[in-house]
Amino acid sequence: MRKRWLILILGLLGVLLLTMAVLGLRWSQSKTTTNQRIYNSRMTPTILIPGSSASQNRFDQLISQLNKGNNKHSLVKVTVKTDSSMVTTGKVRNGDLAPYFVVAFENNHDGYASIKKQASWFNEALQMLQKKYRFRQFQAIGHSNGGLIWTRFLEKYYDSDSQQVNVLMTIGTPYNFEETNPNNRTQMLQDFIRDRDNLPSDLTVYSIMGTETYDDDGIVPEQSVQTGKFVFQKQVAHFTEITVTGDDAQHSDLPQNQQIVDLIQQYVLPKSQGVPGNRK
Amino acid sequence: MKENMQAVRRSMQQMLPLVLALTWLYILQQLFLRPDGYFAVTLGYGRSIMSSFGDVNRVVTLFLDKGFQIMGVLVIVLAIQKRLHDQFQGHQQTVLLTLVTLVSWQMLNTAASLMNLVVLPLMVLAIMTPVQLVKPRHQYAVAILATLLIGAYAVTLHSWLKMSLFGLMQQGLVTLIGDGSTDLWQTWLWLLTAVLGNWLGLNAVAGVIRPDISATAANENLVAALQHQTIPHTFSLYPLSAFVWFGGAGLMLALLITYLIQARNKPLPLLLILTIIPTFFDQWWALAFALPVMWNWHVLRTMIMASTVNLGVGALLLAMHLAPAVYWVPSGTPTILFGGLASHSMWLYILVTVVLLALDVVIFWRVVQELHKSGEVAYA
Repeated sequence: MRKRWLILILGLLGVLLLTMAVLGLRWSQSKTTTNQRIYNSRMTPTILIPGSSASQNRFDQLISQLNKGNNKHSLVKVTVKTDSSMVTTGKVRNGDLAPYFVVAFENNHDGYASIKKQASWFNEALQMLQKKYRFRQFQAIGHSNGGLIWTRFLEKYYDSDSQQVNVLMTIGTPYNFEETNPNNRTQMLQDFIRDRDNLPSDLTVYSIMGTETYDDDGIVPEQSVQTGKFVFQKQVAHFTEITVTGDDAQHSDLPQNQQIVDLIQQYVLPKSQGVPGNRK
Repeated sequence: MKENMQAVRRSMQQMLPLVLALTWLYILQQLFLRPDGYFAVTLGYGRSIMSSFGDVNRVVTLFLDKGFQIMGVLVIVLAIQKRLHDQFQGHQQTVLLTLVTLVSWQMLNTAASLMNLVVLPLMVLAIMTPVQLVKPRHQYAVAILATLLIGAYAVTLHSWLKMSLFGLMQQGLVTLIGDGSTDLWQTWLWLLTAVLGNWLGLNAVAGVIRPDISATAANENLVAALQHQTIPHTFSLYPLSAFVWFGGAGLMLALLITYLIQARNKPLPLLLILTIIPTFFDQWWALAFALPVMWNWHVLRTMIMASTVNLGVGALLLAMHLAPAVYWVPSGTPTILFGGLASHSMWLYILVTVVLLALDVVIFWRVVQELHKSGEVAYA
């Protein structure tokens, strides 16, 4: 009787280990193959997320300005629908190592609940882009709520095994929504602060603030943008706040602001960019 | 001290059926039910697990936590009862054992305390030692006082300060480990720490030292492998884990195999047979309840020797350009499969594992003979 139990247990163990070995090897090899392509890729795209109520066309003017002269790069736009399906327009030209990817959402409503959903959708979109274009490194830009989506993504979904973000630039991002008193922390800000240990420690962050009046950019109070320091300071490698005034300093105009365009060119875009037709 | 430890061991053996049931349930959860479980990840059904089995998982986790807590309380209470059943009158026993039950429940009431089996003998010794030092007419009062003091400590630390010494120890170890070991001698020291931790019943220690691909050394190895560069930290913990963790720190799997070989002509207890699968999956505590391996100095010596030999052989093979374990493996991968999966050289590592286990059987032979002679096997 005991011998039968022993044979049964050993048989079950054998079947289990064999099944696990076959499935595990297939999984590990598949993950390794995908990531080998990603890790050996030279592409470093710049990924942009627009704010609430904005569409995938939000950054068209900004990208036109960045693409002036000989330094033209491809633009791919992804719109994530509420059922998680994705619509992609544009393509990456052959040899372009620094394209622009814009990820927008069909549900682009304001509010913390929406931002959480949008961050989850963004994670799916990023994985799709990585699988399709095989890149690991990228730069990040978020306008308004787009910066909040980036922050939540970095804290909840970022996978340092297969992703490396070097620079994050948030433009007019209200880390404390419409609150002007930094001591009154919204739930979202509290959550960001609580989970800030998950932020990549080698990240460089630029938080750009516009002022039309002395207090806000027409929509977002400067105090709300400044609460970003409670999230990023002492967590990431570098954190810089920059105030932009003058022309195009109103909230919706910030992405076209010439100073911000210059800052993006100087601090965000990769220095050696592969340009189609310009290979050495 | 010896009688107290024996009382604890006998109580642990009595709890073997409960521990086995919980361990099998734990393995089932790790393999099939968790969203990051082995089959959920390899078969790709991890995402649907959350929506379909989220509540089931939570209930199973709660069941496991409370199950292990009940097990711990019963071991302590049974051990105290064994030691004191002749000393106190009926009502005194009832009062004392009820108090011990409540205090033990409080002591084991944090996630960090569960499965740190060292709590079991410590609780018994903390009560029995002062009792044995005083005259019989004072023993009851001293037992109650000792129990109340432990209760005060548990309430203050766990309920009021919300602290756990095991949790603090884990955090301290994580800080010490830092980027992970990069040299062979560092890896050996961490291995010794894990073996000692397991032997003592400090699962918090061994749990922290398990291979972790997110540790800097392991991650640098991974990136180098993906970019077809030379592996920078061949003798770090992750690659060498493929040779030293069979059945958990201390090579409990080798001990079990030795025991089964030596008992091949004897009737084996069914419950011991049921410890085979858990031990293969590095869940060694069922075996520790079946056989008197914990707090046994001879077993510790042999564990250290076998682990060191395995580490040395593994390092030698890696120096001779055996493919190192550097890649990802699904969560819950037992060590017996870890090397092959993480190096993508399954057949080679199967061969190496068989040879190492054969070597370990030789090393464990004598101490297991002593275990057989002691006759202290649960439900034999």
